[in-house]
Amino acid sequence: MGSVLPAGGAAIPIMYPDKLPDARNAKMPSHPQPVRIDGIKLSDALVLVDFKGRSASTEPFSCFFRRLRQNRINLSFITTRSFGGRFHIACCTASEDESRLRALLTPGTDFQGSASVTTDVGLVSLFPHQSDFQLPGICLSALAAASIPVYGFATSLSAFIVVTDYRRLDAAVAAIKTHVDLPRGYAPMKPEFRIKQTVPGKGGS
Amino acid sequence: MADEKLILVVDDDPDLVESLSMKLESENYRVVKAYDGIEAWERIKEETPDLVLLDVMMPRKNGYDVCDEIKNDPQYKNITVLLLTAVADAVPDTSYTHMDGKTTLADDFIPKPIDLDRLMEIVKEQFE
Repeated sequence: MGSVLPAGGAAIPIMYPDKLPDARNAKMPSHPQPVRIDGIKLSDALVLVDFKGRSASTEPFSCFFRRLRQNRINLSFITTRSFGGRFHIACCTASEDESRLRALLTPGTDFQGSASVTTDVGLVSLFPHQSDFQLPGICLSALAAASIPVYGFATSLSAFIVVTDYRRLDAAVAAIKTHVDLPRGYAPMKPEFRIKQTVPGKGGS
Repeated sequence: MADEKLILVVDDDPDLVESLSMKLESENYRVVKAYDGIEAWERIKEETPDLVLLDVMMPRKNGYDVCDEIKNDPQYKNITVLLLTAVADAVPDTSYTHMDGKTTLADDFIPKPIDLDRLMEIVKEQFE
């Protein structure tokens, strides 16, 4: 486990797939009261790019974000951590941006490393977390008990976000919904549009 | 007085809703939240806010449609509606505007990314 500082959010520990405990024998602990949340938001199918490397620079993330901006790539999720000259960036982007993102992670003079890609991942965002650490515990326990993989998670200002299999988003929601208190008749928000960056004067919005 | 006013914040980005709410509450406004157009309309009927900060691009029902419903309903037409939009450059006017060929009766608009200080000024102006 390491610590993660999601953009604009609180720091919480994060577990990476190679270090996750065996979920096969996981049992959902009993919680006295469901945690009250206002909603659940789901993402489109995304790719998760894990980039682990070494940087001569003390600011590998600035370099990464500069490249993102130059290439007009939107991220749906990102966590970063650095320790002892090494760094780890885990980020999700639209499937169609995968190759551009990988190209952008090509080792250069500023950082070196290797990227691994997991396709067909999706995000489940629960909000608001109200800085209640019961929510991550309940959510992760529920997913483990349902044998649903977790590739990463993070908090933002308002949301607790889990990266899981896109094809199992509905199962993930079903597992979580039994342990949280949502408004009556609530249905998770699904994406109906996607925002892209375009070069001014070349069309698009 | 600011502390008597109730503001409904509507956006499908929970982080934006939270940050706007925190800022408004720090200025002594009361805040209710909604995360899509359908939910926004429910909150309007339940709470009758004085002002709505309304995102344009939202799932289920977009901000234009919610704005139309508010402004065409005799019971709610006096609620001030401020649109939050990332395509503000396309808005040529404020009180009765056309955007992408769509007419909106919103009282004003606030461009994204939002300048919180400017937002507070615009909100304050609506109550003066």
